[in-house]
Amino acid sequence: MAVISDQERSSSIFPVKTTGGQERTVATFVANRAVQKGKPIYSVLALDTWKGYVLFEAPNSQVVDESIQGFKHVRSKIPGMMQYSDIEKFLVTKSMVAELNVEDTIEIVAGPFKGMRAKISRVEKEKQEITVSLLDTAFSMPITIDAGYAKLVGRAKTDVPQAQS
Amino acid sequence: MRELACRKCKALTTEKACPNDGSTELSKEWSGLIVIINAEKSQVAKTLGIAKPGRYALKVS
Repeated sequence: MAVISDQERSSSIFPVKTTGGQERTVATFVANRAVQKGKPIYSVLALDTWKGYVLFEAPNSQVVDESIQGFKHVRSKIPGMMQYSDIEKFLVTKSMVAELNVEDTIEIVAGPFKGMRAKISRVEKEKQEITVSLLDTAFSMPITIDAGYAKLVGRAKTDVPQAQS
Repeated sequence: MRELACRKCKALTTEKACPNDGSTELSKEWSGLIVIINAEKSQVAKTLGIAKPGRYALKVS
């Protein structure tokens, strides 16, 4: 893990409330304005997990205030600031396929088989795909789906129960 | 015009090839917009391994 110096810690995150559905518009507009006017905003984030908000990474609050001023889709700036560590977990997307193993039970959360339960028969980590057998059907049908479509509901039993003497 | 995300570097583009690495493996299925303005000072850019300013997707599928 990279060591972050004090100088690199000098930026903070400032959340700004926007009109619903206009997060990307606000992020694009304010970023362009910041570049044109030479404002020291380092990055702008419109994350799907932060609906109705745009996050600004900047050295201070004043820079953000000046950059968002007068834009119709900006509703208000949230007072105070967040530390970078508060949003870091939203940036690092953990690969779902790394958590899945053969024989695990999953629920399919997207696609034509949405809502069905299945047992994993093969995991392809490079392609981020898994092959599963549907449990809710009368016959066993192996299908290959994106690992992102799977929600883990049950782990495979790894320990073999010992026979009682 | 709808933006497409490069599957390799996650850069967003409206062209037929990625402006960063020239890759034609582009996807319309992406989420999370990240605009990097100053890649040297941005901690977000460092975490995501982004070296050039520009528009990026957080997740490309």
